[in-house]
Amino acid sequence: MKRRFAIYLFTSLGLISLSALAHAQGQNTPQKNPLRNAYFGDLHLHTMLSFDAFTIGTRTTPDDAYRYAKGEPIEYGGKKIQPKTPLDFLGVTDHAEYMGMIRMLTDANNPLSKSRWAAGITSTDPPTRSKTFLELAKTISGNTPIPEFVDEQVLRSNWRIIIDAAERAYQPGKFTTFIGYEWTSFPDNQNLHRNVIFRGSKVPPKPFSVFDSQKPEDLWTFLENGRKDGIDALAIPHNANVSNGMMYNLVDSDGQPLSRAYAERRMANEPVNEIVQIKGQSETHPGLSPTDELANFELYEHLLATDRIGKLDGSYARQAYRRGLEIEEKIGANPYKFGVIGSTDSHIGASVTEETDFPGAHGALDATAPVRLRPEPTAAGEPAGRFSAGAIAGVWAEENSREAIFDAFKRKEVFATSGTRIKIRFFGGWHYPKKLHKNKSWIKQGYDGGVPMGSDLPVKPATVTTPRFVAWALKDPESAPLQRLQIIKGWMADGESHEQVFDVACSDTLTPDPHTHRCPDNAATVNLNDCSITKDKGAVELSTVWTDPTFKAEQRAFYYARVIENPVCRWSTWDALRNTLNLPKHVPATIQERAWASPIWYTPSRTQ
Amino acid sequence: MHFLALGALIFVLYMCVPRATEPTSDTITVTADMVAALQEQWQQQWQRPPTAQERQWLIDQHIREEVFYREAKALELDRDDTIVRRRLAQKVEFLVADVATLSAPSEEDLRSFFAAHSEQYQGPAKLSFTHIYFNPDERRERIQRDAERTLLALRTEQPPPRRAPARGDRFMLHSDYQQRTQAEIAREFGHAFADRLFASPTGEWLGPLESGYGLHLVRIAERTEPTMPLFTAVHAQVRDDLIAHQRREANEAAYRRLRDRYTIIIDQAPNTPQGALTQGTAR
Repeated sequence: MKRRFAIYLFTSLGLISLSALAHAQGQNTPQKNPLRNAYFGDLHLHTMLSFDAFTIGTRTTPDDAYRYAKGEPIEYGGKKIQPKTPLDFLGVTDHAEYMGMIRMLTDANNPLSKSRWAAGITSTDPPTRSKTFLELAKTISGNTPIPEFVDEQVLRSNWRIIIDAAERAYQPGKFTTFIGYEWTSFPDNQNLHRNVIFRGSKVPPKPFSVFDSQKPEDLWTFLENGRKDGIDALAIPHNANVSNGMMYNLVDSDGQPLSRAYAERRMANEPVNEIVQIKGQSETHPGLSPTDELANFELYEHLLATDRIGKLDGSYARQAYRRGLEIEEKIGANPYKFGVIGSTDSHIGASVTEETDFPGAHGALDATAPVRLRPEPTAAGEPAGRFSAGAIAGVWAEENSREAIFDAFKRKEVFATSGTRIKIRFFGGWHYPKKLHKNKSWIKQGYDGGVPMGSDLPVKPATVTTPRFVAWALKDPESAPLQRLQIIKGWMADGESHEQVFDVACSDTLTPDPHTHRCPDNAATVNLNDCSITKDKGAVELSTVWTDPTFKAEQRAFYYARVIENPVCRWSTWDALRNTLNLPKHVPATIQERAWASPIWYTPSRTQ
Repeated sequence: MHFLALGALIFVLYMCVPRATEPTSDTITVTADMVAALQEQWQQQWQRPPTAQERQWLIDQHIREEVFYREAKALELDRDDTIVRRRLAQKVEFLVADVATLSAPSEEDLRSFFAAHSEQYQGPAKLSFTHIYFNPDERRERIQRDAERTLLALRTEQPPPRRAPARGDRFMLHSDYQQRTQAEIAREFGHAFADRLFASPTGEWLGPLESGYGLHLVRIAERTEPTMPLFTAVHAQVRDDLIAHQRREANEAAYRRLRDRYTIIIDQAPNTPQGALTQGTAR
């Protein structure tokens, strides 16, 4: 009876699951590129199947999400939206908790529609709706599931909708889809969320949700068991910035110091972290990196759905890398040796990443410009204007397929961007020539003579004193020119970790100051009356071979590259201009878009 | 779990009972099932069963609602209420849509659908081209002049070279592109460049074209007009499209059948201009 009931609901909503069919690829499959191409995608997106997205009015389906990512127009909030440039890959990641259940509350034919939850969610009074939403969220953060919302049969059917949509939209060689979901652990509103991304079509019959366990270690066990059955998957932690120090903690879920086994399991299951998305960046914070002038970037500090500001320690990736070195020195394994990506985390079923025409990311909470620009906080915790206009996951892969892209995640040859399509490459080695980046075949030599981003430097040869790094970045053809290319180094000295930012290439024929390691200002500006930018400043391409001037063979270290664009109008400024509203004062008027390459690590060999 | 099963039961009963057999008299029957459902709702809201007094209150409320509901129906109050009307209409639409169950389309159906809608399966036009890149970082204010001079030189050569990337600057992507669509070129070079390139003639050196990276001299070697894919290559997509199409048709047909039971008279509004109306009827 229950089963037939569920089936009725799906068909009545027009969400029929057709048999999953991966589409055969046409004759024009591009060949594999052994030097790898950059692909841009999103591995964090919510549709109407997410409890929160539905509650705030999102009605876009996983099918819509894939259509939008491929460049097609879809309907959102009564308007047509279409991306300027399509993505190369997308994984829809609806919350596992109450997956697809909340929409059933608004179907008058469903008995759940008679519940008080339904009354709250469909209320015409916005505060009532907000209150209901927060109460719902609390049943997840507090792990007190509403029994009739976790019906297994219904959950499985909803999971099937997500699987089928991903299978239908996959076009190997052209557009890759990943089956996935979000594991929504946030004990006491401290964010430990992970997105689970599956390598192929083989997935478990239902997601492992926070109602199964709130501990990441248990999620890893689930993934490890899956691998025994041939189901490969990764978990991607995100929004460490609102974890209140829990994401990159010094202890495990049971309060024990991190062990070698913990470190190894974490890295096997979570090789990549998402460090930038609509709810801010988790690279670093001015309070943790006071000498990094560019750390004050898209900060989002309120714990989810609260007015509490979280702890800085344990909440940012750069510090995690440093902690990783410290821990490794003690226990011989590094739990925080991860690569980085960005994604949107949009809750409108569309991977929007453009500053120029941002439609909001949270349904009714930010559907119109006046609401988006109000300084008052929304139910999500911060004012809508504080949210960022999406971010992007970049990968270096041989071809656009599930296998090639997933494997890039595993080897951490990935990068994050704040929403533009900057390409960034980063290699480390011991024998690179000083002018390698000027060489026509530098990429091949980069691979042949060293390692790409996300890797460990090879063992130091006795004959060489310092490593060299090749960093290269190419602007987004639709966005501003590049301003500076940087390498961020962290290292151990006297039992403590340290960090330093080095500008390594500057635009406009400028050179970094040898003492401050900073590029002079290139004087690029933005006209806030029309968002036009200085025409003749900035670079199309920045590249260099950098020799670490502070290298010491006995100090473990990490290095990652960051490239910064000239400033452009932030989405909130575009929004105000387009709608003739006052510029909001609580957010910056401009943004310097950027990309981060995953680190390269150096470990002294035992004989050193 | 219990609640869902029970709810499903009530729901299915509700679906199965033909409307005509519903008591139209002035009897109101409160069945045991209904009472159970009311109690279940209470339980969910308050996390405990209702007391005997509360239970009686629930039943009284239910009766009260039913009495007013029937009076409202008798007075036809639902007719003037847009929300009520729309809600009722939607409920029937759901029912009708679901009744229109579809059989799986045959291979023959798929082929004829493919033939009838062939234009939507056509691939986009593609270009193969080579280009010479001029880097603004290197050439600064000389860039336009340099590009134009190079173009002049290329055009005076006999025969003009088929490709000549070395006459410009090193380009970080590719010098030659084979069989690329406009969307693919836009992704690599920016939209303005792709638009201009696809509007350009083949076989000659042209430019300078501006991209997100600087200036380019371009020679399009070949333009491939939209092509029809093999049926087998788009089989799955045709199947999805046909099923969606059949569903729309079936829903529309179900509506038509219902609509045919009615005589529809559209009264001409007195204040509508006569000309507009005549035109409307003529169509």
